[in-house]
Amino acid sequence: MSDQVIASDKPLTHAERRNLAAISDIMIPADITYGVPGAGDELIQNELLLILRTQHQAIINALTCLDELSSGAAGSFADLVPPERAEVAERFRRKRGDLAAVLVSLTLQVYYRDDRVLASLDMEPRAPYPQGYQVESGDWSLLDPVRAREPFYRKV
Amino acid sequence: MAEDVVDVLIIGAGASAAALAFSLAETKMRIVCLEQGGWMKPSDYPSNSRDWESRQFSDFSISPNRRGRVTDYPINDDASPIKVANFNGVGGGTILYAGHYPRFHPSDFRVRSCDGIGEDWPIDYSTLAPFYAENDRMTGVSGLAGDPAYPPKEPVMPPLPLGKSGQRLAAGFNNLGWHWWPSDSAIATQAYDGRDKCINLGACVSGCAQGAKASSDITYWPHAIRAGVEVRTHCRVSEITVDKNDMATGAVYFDEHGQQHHQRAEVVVLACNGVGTPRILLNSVSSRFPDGLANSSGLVGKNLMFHPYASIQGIFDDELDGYAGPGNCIWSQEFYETDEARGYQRGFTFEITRGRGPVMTAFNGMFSGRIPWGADHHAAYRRLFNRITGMVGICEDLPEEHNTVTLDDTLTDTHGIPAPKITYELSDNSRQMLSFAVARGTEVLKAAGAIDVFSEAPIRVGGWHLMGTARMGKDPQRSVVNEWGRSHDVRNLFVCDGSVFVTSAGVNPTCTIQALALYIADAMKQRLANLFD
Ligand SMILES: Cc1cc2nc3c(=O)[nH]c(=O)nc-3n(C[C@H](O)[C@H](O)[C@H](O)COP(=O)(O)OP(=O)(O)OC[C@H]3O[C@@H](n4cnc5c(N)ncnc54)[C@H](O)[C@@H]3O)c2cc1C
Repeated sequence: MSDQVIASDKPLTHAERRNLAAISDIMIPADITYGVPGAGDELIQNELLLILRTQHQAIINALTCLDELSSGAAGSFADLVPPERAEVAERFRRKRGDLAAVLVSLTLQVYYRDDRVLASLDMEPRAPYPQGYQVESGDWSLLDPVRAREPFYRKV
Repeated sequence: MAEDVVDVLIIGAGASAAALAFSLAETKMRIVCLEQGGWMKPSDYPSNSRDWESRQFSDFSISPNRRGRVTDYPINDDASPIKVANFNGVGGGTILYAGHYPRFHPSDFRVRSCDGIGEDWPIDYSTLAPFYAENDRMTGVSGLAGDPAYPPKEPVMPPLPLGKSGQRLAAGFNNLGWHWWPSDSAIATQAYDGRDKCINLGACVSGCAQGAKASSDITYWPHAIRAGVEVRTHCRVSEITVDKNDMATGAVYFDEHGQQHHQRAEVVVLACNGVGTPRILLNSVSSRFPDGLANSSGLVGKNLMFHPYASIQGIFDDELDGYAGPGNCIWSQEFYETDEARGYQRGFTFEITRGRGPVMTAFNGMFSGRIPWGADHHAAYRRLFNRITGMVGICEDLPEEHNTVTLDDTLTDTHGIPAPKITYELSDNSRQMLSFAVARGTEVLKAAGAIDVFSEAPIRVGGWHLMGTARMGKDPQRSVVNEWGRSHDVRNLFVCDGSVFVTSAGVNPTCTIQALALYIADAMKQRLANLFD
């Protein structure tokens, strides 16, 4: 099987994908209390690979930087033991806040539309259209004190 | 074969063009509109799909540079702390606008007389009043009569719901004794003119799939087209041509296949907004107009105004509207007029922005440091989800000649047409007003029960109001077009978009842009027999 992902014009290698999943999981880990997957979950990562095309170079730079920061240890970032990985991730965020911001932005865009995540937030996993949503009209008596006010626009 | 000559050639098919074309159509003149973008399909709007928030970062980004559609042109806004937001297509910026639809106030047309700064307009509120009313009807404005911050006006249909967010903040304003009122909105709360009512999709700024939001492609344009106006899409204008009598003869444009054409016309109307219009004028250089067309005043591209925005958001303990409902809700004009004691002149409107979707909640939380990486992420996220509401403060921007649209030396669009370059500085007056707005916004959020407040001022991506770069006036040395939109220099050339604004007021501009376009069209109709005198 090919080592390449078809999802992007400029695909990530298997090693890069492992690093991406590892850093995503550090950013947003799975949580059994809320019944949510981590951002490194396979379905979420597949979505991430689909949208990272526009920021491809920044992602490659981020993953390369993670590997460089890991080089004293086992080699690849994904191969580090969890405490070392967390420590490298922290150093990465301090050193390359710009690249970390790109990673965060893309990860949030796919994580917070995942069915399981939305279900845990009591949100129906669907597009807004065509059902839409309900918004209460509200208590219009709140407006009474303002209605009582004299016109105050500036006369010219 | 003789070249085809149309009576009126409109360039751009956005908010102003739509209103002007609709009004002129009754003359039965031959009217053609050239638009660089295409028609939008409601089924393509992001709220049809699960990735609706994500697409605000790609093909529905408000930034043309980020969106990068073939129908967009690049804008160099590196030299501006506020970045340009627009949309290029039939409907123009209204495809993405929020639909806040306030009128100017009478004092907004008399800034110099009232406060000794800026300029007075050559027209006043009463000149525009009938056109505001006609525009409200065409647009289908929702709202509530009786706002003490305005002269009397009658919205066409009931206001948008207050919802939980609106009630929260209304209580906050009441606690401080400050004005608030349901916002005038270009969002239908009842079926109207073939459009359906709002169903609270929550994605107004990436196009309304329901058709409740009054974007000009579904309000004015269908009426104008039925009355005979022709809209040619994917046609990008590079320059306006002139003859030896200093009259416009038409425009050069590229069609969707990259073929160049010259469309001849008796009258040319520019409606490409406060950036696109000066760009075309500055690109229309000839021996008779070496500094760009209609530029004897030297003011084409100068006096660019944006409206610096402050965003002030609160986090609450209880559930609010979150992802549901249009952003529009209520507004406050407590601080609209000048009070020198505040340390700045003129004023601003607070507009409540209701809530945000799950992705934007995460963005706000993570980029403001309120949601961490790691195990605590989820609990922190849940403290924000559906619990954020707040407001923006829309600050009046004053005209300053050093804030400009010029042509970039190297950047061009896909047709090789020089792209616009923005040079803009935030004035001290704006800075003072922004910090005052943040302080008052924080106060009202606290009064409404917010447990935490965060702000951004100016909003970096918030250059969505583009005004002032071909302003109107009676004095040809101090203005580009006269008091009814005709160029002082080229007597069959008109401008009807936000470029003609003299000052910016402290409210969103589109209601006034469209009322002005109706007024300019009316002025043309009144003078058809001697339009060029
Ligand atoms: C995200 C966002 C939110 C907004 N929210 C609000 C709001 O709540 N309330 C409000 O009042 N306003 C809002 N606005 C602003 C509003 O959209 C504009 O004020 C309004 O659309 C301006 O009208 P216009 O006719 O001046 O120009 P536009 O509507 O921008 O139309 C200009 C048209 O000209 C076309 N054009 C430009 N150059 C060329 C060329 N060379 N050849 C051919 N065609 C060309 C463009 O493609 C475009 O379609 C918002 C805008 C954005 C982007």
